[in-house]
Amino acid sequence: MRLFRLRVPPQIEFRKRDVYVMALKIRRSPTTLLGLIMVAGVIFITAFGEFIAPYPQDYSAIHTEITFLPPCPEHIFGTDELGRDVFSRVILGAKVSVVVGISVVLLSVIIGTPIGLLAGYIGGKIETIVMRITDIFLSIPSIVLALAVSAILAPTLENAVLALTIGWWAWYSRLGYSLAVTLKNNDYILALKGMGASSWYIIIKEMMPNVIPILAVKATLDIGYAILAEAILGFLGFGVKPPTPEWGTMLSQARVHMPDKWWMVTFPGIAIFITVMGFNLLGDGLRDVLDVTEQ
Amino acid sequence: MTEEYILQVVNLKKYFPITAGVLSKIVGWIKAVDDVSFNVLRGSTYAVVGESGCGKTTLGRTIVGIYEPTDGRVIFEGVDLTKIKDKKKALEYKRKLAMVFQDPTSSLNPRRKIIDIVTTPLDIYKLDRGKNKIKVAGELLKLVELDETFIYRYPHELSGGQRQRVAIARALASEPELIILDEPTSALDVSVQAKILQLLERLQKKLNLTYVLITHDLSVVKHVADYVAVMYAGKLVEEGPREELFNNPLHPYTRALLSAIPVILPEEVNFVSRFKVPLPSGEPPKLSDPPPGCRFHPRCPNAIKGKCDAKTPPFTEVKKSHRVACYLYT
Amino acid sequence: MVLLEIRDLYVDFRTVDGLAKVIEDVSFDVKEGESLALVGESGCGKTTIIKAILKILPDYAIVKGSIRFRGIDLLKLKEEEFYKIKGKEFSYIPQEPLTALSPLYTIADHFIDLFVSSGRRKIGWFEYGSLRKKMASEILEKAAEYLRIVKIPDPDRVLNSYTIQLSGGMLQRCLIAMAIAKNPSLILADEPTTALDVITQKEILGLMRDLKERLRTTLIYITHNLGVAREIAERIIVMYAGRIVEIASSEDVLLNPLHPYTRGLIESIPKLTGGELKGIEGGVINYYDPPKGCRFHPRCPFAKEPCRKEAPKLVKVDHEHLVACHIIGERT
Repeated sequence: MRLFRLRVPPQIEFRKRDVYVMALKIRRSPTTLLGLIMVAGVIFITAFGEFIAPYPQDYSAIHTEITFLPPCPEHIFGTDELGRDVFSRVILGAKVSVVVGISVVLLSVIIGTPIGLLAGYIGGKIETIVMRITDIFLSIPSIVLALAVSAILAPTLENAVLALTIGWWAWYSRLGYSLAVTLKNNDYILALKGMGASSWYIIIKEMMPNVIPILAVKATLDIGYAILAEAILGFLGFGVKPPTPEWGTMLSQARVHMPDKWWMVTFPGIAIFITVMGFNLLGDGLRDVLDVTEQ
Repeated sequence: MTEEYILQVVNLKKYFPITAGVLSKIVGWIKAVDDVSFNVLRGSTYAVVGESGCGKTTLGRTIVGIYEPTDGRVIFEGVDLTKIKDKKKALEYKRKLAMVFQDPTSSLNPRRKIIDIVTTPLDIYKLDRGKNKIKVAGELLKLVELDETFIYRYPHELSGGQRQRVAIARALASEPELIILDEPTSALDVSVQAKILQLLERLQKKLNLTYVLITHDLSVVKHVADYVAVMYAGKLVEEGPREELFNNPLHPYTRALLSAIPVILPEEVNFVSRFKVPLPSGEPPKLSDPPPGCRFHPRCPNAIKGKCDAKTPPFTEVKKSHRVACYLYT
Repeated sequence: MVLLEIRDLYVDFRTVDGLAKVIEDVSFDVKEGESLALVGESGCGKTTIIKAILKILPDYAIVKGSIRFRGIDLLKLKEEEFYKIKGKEFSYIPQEPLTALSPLYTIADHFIDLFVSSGRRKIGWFEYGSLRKKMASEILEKAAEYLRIVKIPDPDRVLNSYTIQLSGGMLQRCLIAMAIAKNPSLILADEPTTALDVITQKEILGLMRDLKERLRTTLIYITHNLGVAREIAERIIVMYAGRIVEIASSEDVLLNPLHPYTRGLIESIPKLTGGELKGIEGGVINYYDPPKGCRFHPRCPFAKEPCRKEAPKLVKVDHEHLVACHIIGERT
């Protein structure tokens, strides 16, 4: 019998036991905690950006008189080619990146996973049709697909999300499929099948708990990559339209001014780095936290 | 007449297709269950004995409904389960048939709490016990002599014996009439096995259950079974009441099996030495390519050339309630 | 002549959860030419003892005590010295044939590997290749002979087969052939027949008995099945929770079991001649926090005060019959 690693006090034999255990696990892993803090920070900035940024009007305002100011007390990240406070724009830019990143992954999970699970569990013709479609989408590099879609559609936030999701959902379809195939021959699934449980019951009540830890990890890591992908789109000139602050676009526009006006590139870059890193650390530790069999 | 038998398995066949090639063409069949028939009396324990790979696990799973039979019928309480089209009606009958699997580690979902695991049948069969879930789960655990506080634990926090008790509790949740036990104690230590067997015996008396016990362990069978059937390569080769089969085994395979049991007491050694059979050489055949005629003939010391290798011997009654499939007796 | 002498063996596993005291105060002798069964339920430590003798325990295992082979303490030997002895004198038959052999190589490859790298911890690629070329045909000739000894009718076909092409019984015979091929002084078998069907098991046990007679090797056989122990061994050591509780001849252990655990075990086994089935109360112990005193006392129907305080030592109660129990040891 595997020993109970975390000394959960015996009086905690109650319903919320797993939440308690999860909290304990987070506490004992410094990297996960760090990731959690970083992500929480980024999300906070995304939500309350307008109140934190010292110059929220620099969303679009132009101040030709203070262009290209290096970091100074009034503008700690300096100003860009249009005199806008870089610090404020970095904060405001979080919104686009984070919203797009999370939306893309959320949509991909919601669309892709059930499709994959169903195809994997039921098998037969459905499996063939669904998985071949998935394969088609997987064979086209997501960035290329996203670029193609962005070029056709108007450069709005929603369309940026759409462009990325079109390529991204297929990964979750494949993940759901391979998980379903692996799990469906386990005795406990067969036991339920024997009892006469419907496929939906089995997928939702029995398979999902086994799928969620892996899904959560991949999703969290993917948010980081989706943010990067979004930044790349912005960098290449697709995605949202100026003057909307967006880290990738900011990098792209600041590129020509390197290396003299270094602050215009460095700070958006660091923002991307911290965000992606935070999600990575969190995602890494999440597997341990969410998996009830790991103690 | 059929009312005395709670379960009747009639000419049951389960073949698995073997596919090859890109287009998955069928190139052969694994004949896991090949024309098996037997009847089980209500309240008794019917054991199916055989070595691993003989098809007994597939037999159990086909009866319970995990696999669709390739042919044949499964008649439960007079109703042919294979012919029920209405899903709701099918569930009504499935509720009375439960199964306990061999490996308690894999038969319980590692990521669900015990309380959810044991009350699953209630959800599936939409049974409302009138009490809340916690109480029902607690009662079920008490029935299998487990501490009620286990309901919020996960399977990996329990020992093998405790997990098997949870599996039994789950089987009892729907108040079944018949339970199929697929090697319920093979994965457990001998001292734990004894306690689980005792529990199963108590439950049978208390709840008037019928058991179909699938196992390879003849010693266990001698202790708990009323009727015994011996299975080899997908077919039944002998069947009879327990005492009769152990005192007077007819089929050469049964005799070989009995003589090979590693026993510990001198009385047992004497018992077993009555079957001084030469050990059959070789190994059980692949179910995808069984030998023609009697499946056992390539290894049988008594094989009659021209007879045993030509046609499968019929499984007939040679003494009262004692059936054999062997040309030595038919 | 005593071939193997184990004294005061303690094995602890240092893990994240703490120190698991897996083997405690184990001492026994193995006489040259005898067949000894190490019997116990899962987790009792029997495999750990074998691994300690072969020195294949994981890094986090801490071994204390002495294991003397023909007088030489194996635990104190340097690596090269130990490997020389291991290669020449010891053979190991593992439990699961499928996982013990590599699916990428044929049986012939395994035999060649056995001989070419025998007695050495590391061997360079080049040296391996040249040795292999030199010795291959000779090794394979011998291999075919050994396969015949274990009653494999067509050795050449088997030699050229991969593990997935052969059945469990066949593979186990190959492993036995490999084990005897080096003519070892000591064969350590870890439940090799557990995964086989009863008839094949009886065959293999008979085979091993014959081989042992012919080659006059010493055999230590691990099993959890007392019936199998009776078939293969002259002497039985019963283990519980990392300690030895009883040592006696097979006959004595089965007909006159003294330790409460041994008796409980025997009473739990369903017998062909009927009789009541009784289990043993309680469950597996926690190796991180084992019971004080006798490790069996929480489950023992006869436990008294001294059992809770002090761990009993193995005491000779009869000719060749030793028990570690305060109650029984005192009585006789």
